[in-house]
Amino acid sequence: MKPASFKYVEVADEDALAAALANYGDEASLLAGGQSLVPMMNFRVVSPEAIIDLNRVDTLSYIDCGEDTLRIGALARHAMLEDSDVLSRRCPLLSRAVGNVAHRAVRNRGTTGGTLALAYPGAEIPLALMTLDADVVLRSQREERKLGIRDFILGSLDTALDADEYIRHVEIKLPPAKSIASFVETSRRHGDFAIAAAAVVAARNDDGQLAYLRIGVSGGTGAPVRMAALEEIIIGSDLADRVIADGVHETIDGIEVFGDHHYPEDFRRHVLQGVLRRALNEAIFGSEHRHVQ
Amino acid sequence: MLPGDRPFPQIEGRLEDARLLFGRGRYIDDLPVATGTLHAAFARSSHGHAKIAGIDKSAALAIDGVVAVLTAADLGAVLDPFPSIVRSAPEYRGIATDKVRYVGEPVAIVLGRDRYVAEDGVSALEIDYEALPAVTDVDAASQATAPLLHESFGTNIVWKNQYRYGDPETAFDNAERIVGVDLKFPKYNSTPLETYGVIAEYLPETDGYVIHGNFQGPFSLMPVLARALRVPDSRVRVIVPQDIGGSFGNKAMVYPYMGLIAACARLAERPVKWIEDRAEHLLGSASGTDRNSRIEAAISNDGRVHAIRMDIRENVGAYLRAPEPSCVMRSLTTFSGPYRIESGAIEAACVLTNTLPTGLNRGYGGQQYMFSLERLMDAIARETGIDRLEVRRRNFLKAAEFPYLTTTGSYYDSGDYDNCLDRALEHLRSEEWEGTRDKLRAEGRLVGIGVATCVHSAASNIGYVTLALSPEERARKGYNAKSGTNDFAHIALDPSGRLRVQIGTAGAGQGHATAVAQIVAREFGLGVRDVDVIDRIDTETTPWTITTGTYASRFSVVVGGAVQRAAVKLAGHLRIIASHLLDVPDDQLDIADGVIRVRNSNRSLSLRQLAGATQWNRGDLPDESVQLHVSESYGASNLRSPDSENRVNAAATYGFMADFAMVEIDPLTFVPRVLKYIAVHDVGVPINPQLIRGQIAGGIVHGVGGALYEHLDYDENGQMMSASFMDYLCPTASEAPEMAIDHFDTQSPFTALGVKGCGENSAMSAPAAIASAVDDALATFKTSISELPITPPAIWRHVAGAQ
Repeated sequence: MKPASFKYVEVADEDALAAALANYGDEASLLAGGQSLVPMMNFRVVSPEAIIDLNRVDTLSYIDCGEDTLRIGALARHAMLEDSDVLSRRCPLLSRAVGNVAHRAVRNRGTTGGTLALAYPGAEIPLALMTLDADVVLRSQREERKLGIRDFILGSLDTALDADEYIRHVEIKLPPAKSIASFVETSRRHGDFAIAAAAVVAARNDDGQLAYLRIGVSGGTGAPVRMAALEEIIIGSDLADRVIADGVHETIDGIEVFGDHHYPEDFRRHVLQGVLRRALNEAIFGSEHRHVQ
Repeated sequence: MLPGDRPFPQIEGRLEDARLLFGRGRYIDDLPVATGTLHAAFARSSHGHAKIAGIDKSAALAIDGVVAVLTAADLGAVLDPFPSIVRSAPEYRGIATDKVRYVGEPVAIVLGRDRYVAEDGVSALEIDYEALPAVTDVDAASQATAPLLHESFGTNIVWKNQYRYGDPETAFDNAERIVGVDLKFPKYNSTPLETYGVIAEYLPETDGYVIHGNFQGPFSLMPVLARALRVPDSRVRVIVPQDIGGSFGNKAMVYPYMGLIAACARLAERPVKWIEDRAEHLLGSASGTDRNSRIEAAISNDGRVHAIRMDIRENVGAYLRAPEPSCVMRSLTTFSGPYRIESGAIEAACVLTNTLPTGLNRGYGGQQYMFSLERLMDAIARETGIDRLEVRRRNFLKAAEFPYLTTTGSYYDSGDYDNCLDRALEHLRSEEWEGTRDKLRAEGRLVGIGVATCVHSAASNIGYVTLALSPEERARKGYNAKSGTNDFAHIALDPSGRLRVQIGTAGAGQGHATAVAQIVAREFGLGVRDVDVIDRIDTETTPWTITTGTYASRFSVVVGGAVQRAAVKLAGHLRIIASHLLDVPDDQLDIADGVIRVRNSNRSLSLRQLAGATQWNRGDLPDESVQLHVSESYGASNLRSPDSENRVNAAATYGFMADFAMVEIDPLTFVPRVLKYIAVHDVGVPINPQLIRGQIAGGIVHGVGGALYEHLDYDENGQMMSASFMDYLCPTASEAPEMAIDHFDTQSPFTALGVKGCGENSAMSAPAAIASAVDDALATFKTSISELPITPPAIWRHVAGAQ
């Protein structure tokens, strides 16, 4: 498990980063936390000609919370999100999601940009961002552009990132102030990639009616899926248990789910329903869903 | 008080800790290597079964830094197949010849100036494969129509045999009831932190080899290695590094790699070093066997078992390599476990499949057979309506019956199974397990409690290996019988008066040096840190036997026994010397607190004074031989070779384990979790409770791994579906349950220290206890676990199937 040889390029700012990318194109990989890239290189699953190390590009490392928009720089470490007070108050879904990412040691290194660029199917942050309908800002020497996350994550391990581009930051329209977020994941062991995960954010208006609802699922779905149809079913309903259960069943049946050797498709669908119902209960009714201790 | 009656002195922590915890261990990768040493990387098969149509080395050889590319054809000039216990078994060379038979099988070895460039060489090799149909299931492989792994052998059933003890036919004919279960036990590994490592050199001046390898024994594999290398045993010098980072049976099977790397060194005329990486370890080291079996009991309606019938189909992987088929021997020799079962009929077959070849895996057949027997006991409980514990008690051997000779010839030394189980129940009650389970169930949670009661045979009799042969084969002229287990210890008083012990255990971090220091310290009334222990194996200078090594939990019985003997003998010699120096008969002398005292007097000599006088003033001592050092050997008692009825005493000692597990299953996600575990074991006499606790705790988590998480999983094409830690799931600290570990010890009357061996313990019993708990958790679905690992999809199928 030794990598093939490669050129190592360290960049100190965004201009140098863009220039290096323009120079190497798809012959280079970007090194941020390295938590996925380095093992893949050691297994020789990927053998890039060059590694562009952007860990010193400080302008990409921030959490900026405004009135109604949240910006997270691509180099923000998961640990930074995990420890952020403002994030836990203003965007609790991200706070809850990030605690499920591997183990703290990995979170000290892994970054928002890194996990988004990889788009691994069980990954928690891309699911949270998809649920919040985030925008992704990309930059190259040619231009800066903004893509909706649904146009950025195309499928499992597949994004719209061009060879000469890097992720600058993500932009999230903040949910209402009193929203409740739930992130429910099932995995074999603590810290593993999710077999199935559900992210829900719900907020009631002053009359106590459910006025805001965002739902996303991942785990065998390729890209994370925003369950817009289910949002509509639930918001327009009396929130009866039967309505939610039927809605979950019908909409999960309607999305594409991929089985594999370890977890067959019918099992995944069944478990997706389970975690989704649990997440909906918690976010909408604030019920204490007890998870296995 | 005689020294043997004193308690063992204890220390907090271990003597080894200072070096291991501060990064000063010396593992194989830490050893300095000669300049010019080449580094090896293996090209390994990506196919489960394929012909090798051609290997083009040219691109690899063109890489700067690549020195050689060696295939079976090249190595054949200096390396023969490794001999098997079963003489007619298909050839095993450790590297593919014309075919590959499992993913990960070595195909070529690239030698380069460093590992990076050697791997570049591997990437550049062009190997042409012609895929063949593969077979990975043991029953499928047994069919006449299955793809053949070794065409000339004609079948994939590489070995089979039948064993009959007592009168099983009558017992089954007269049974009031017959209860049977079909079971599947999975293939998994031990995943030691440290992987295999070999550094080898050929010495043309003696036509011999020097091989450094983190090999744990048994050293019965040394003649196998020497024969493959075509040199006499005495020309293979094996040096085991001072520290090995875990083994658990796995590092018995580094010997084929020792042969391959040594042969490379000979052909390259330079030393060669190879450190296995984690990917290789999962694909290409060794694993435990997976087993499909059917086990049946002939019982009375009150649950008493009169006979067992068992049909074992054991997957040994793509090759049968020594010491297999020993994997099935615990299932024969101790088939009755802790129960009074007087008859048995066992059919066992080892089958070849396109999977990783097998070897020892912490328990070596123990976990497979304990799973079978304990699942059967639970099935008997279910079918008769008798409580699971009561059924076991009705069959338990009683304390007054020991020593007990089983129908297979195993001679159980001591035990008190009822009281040991009672002690475990005390923990269950004081921790309110049943109350907790009921409370959680009332909240809608799926929670269960399971049990396993098992006999742990330790310090195995090498004779059991020969059960692979028939009594007729063993009776033939020229056949050499095998039996026993023994080892050496050397103890000396150095010129400054300090005691130094030399042993050779090939330990892997169990704390052997500490335990040995405690044994010696007890004999001389010293503190543990007053004794130095060197644990080293260099076959050129360390006394060793073909049973030497750390396996079968033998250390405390065999090495401990040798150390005890040596300590007592040395103490005797020192009394003789002191009697001259003090001018009193030696039976008037006691050794305590490191001082030799004349009884009822204050005349004494310190060890330092005695050593000084003997070293510096030897001439003034009488001419009788004066010994300041002693070598002793210890061979366990009662170990003979098998008789003509296939009866043999499998091991020197027989411990006992009473285990309880509490498992919860999430009703929406079907994820199982072991919440709590109780293990009350009989280890005879505990030398060091900390060490024992560590072994049992590690064994519990290992058993959790086998029950729920770890699986070397192949698809029907022989592709490895768990080739990295993403998919091969070892339990982490978060998955470890709360553990209550306790003892109910009954001394062995047969061992020097009364000890019984400890190490494999709950690694063998936990899978059964956890399956039992899952049954209880899913009781409303009226289903029973017969296959491991118990994964969420598997649980879902049980639950969905019931609805």
